[in-house]
Amino acid sequence: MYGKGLRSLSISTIAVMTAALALVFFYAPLEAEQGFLQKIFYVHVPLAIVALCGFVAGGIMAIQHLRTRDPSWDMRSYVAIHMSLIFGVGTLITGSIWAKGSWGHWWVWDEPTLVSFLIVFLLYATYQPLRFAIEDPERQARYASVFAITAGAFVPLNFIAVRLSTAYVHPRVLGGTSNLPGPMALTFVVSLIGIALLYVTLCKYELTAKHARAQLRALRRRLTADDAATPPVRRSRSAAPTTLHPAAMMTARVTGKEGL
Amino acid sequence: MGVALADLPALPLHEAGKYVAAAYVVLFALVLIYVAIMAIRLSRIERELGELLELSENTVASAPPDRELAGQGSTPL
Amino acid sequence: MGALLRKELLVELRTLESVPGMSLFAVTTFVVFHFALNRNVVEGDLAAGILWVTLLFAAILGINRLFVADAEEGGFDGFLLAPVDRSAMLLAKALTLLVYLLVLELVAVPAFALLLLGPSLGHALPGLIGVLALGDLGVAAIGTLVAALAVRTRARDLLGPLLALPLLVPIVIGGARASSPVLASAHHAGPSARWLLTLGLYDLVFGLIAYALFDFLLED
Repeated sequence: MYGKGLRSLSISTIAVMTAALALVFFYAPLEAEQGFLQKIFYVHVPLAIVALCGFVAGGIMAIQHLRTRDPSWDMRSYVAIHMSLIFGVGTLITGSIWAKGSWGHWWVWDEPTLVSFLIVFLLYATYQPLRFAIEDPERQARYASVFAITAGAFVPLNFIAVRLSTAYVHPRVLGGTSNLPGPMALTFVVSLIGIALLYVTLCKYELTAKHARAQLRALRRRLTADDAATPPVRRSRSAAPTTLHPAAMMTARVTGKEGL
Repeated sequence: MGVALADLPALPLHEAGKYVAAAYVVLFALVLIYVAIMAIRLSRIERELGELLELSENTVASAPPDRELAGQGSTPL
Repeated sequence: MGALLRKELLVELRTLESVPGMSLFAVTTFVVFHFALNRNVVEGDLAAGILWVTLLFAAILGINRLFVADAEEGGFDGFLLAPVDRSAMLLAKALTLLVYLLVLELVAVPAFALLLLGPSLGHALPGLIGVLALGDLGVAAIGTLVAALAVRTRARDLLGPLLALPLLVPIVIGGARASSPVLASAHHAGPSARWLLTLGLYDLVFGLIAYALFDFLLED
């Protein structure tokens, strides 16, 4: 049952994000150097942090999948990576907007966050094509997990490597959170929590929807197999994992074979 | 406060405002697009459930005797 | 594993599939760079960059072909039936790729010195060899893992490079940064220790990861 905590999760997400927005625009002081433009910081950096953690979490879930061979871990890993990719796009776009506002260019190589995100994004963009390219669902899940673990380990290492290589010409306004004054720090933390909650809520939505679709599919298979009619061959090109948990997978496999 | 000796002069409010607004719009759009995707999925699920309900009614209607026999299929001898 | 390694190298010697192609590609790329950058000599940062990018793309060619013969001729099944430790296959393939890269560099680096490099290679050589060795280890580890991952998919020629390139970016960063003081003409120094350390750590982490995950790719 994936949808269980969904309502309370959504409500808390709304509450925290509203509080965060209020803090950003009514409470946090204007920054000396950047002025109003700095407010982007409260969107861009939490998006980045949550996306990065999501990628790493996807890797950890993939480890669990390989250890337990439970397909539901693979589904969670898939959703985590998918959502992080979307949040990553958000990071890149908001970072680009900030760069344009600060330096007049839509892209700057000086911000290690942006650069390492670009590399990470290019890597994870191959995740779905990889899944697409493997037909057998069990092998697809296994190979995807190997990829997720490798890529999850890559994320922090890449970040470090890019940071080391960046020449510190401009003071890194986006990166440094260590010397934030009190009100700004509070606003930042609340924004971070809000975006993190948003991520978890959206992931839960996604998982619940996928689970419901999979249950529907299993139900359909059972009904049509009972009917002794040929089940419609669903050549779904979706790269998403469609299995739920081992019991349902067994049922699905058995009825599927009967149908064929 | 004080004199900003940065080489990044702060944009005047009406200009910076546009960029900040754009960034927050991105966040908003992200959530709204997701709501739309969920809405499509929900209607699809509803439709499938309706089909399955029909299917199950047909199954029950067309083969009640078979179902009774099948129910006792595993009686040990 | 020694037997496996010997078999790999013997096959390569007989068929000459990968290494000549990689080397030729590297040399041709240097020519392309000459025309693309419109320069006769390069040094320092630019030299390090050109060398590493060329080596990277030539390595990709080798990575693409690493498991192809096994996948096509059922070599995987034969291997799985034999009572050999699976990580032996990983090590054999990784070492094979390493050997390919070393031979590639034996051709490419002198070619580079001849065609494009400004400062003489003499004093630079020991430092450069060190950096290249570290970089090769990382490319071999990651390349073998990615090759195994990509070979049994539908678009293997495409997926291999797409997967490998981002993962190899830190190696390019480390390699180029470490070798650029070595290839500078003004006052060449030894390779930067900080970058050597970074390269070494990266190699270690991904070597371990490849070792841990390779089994899962070979299961069926």
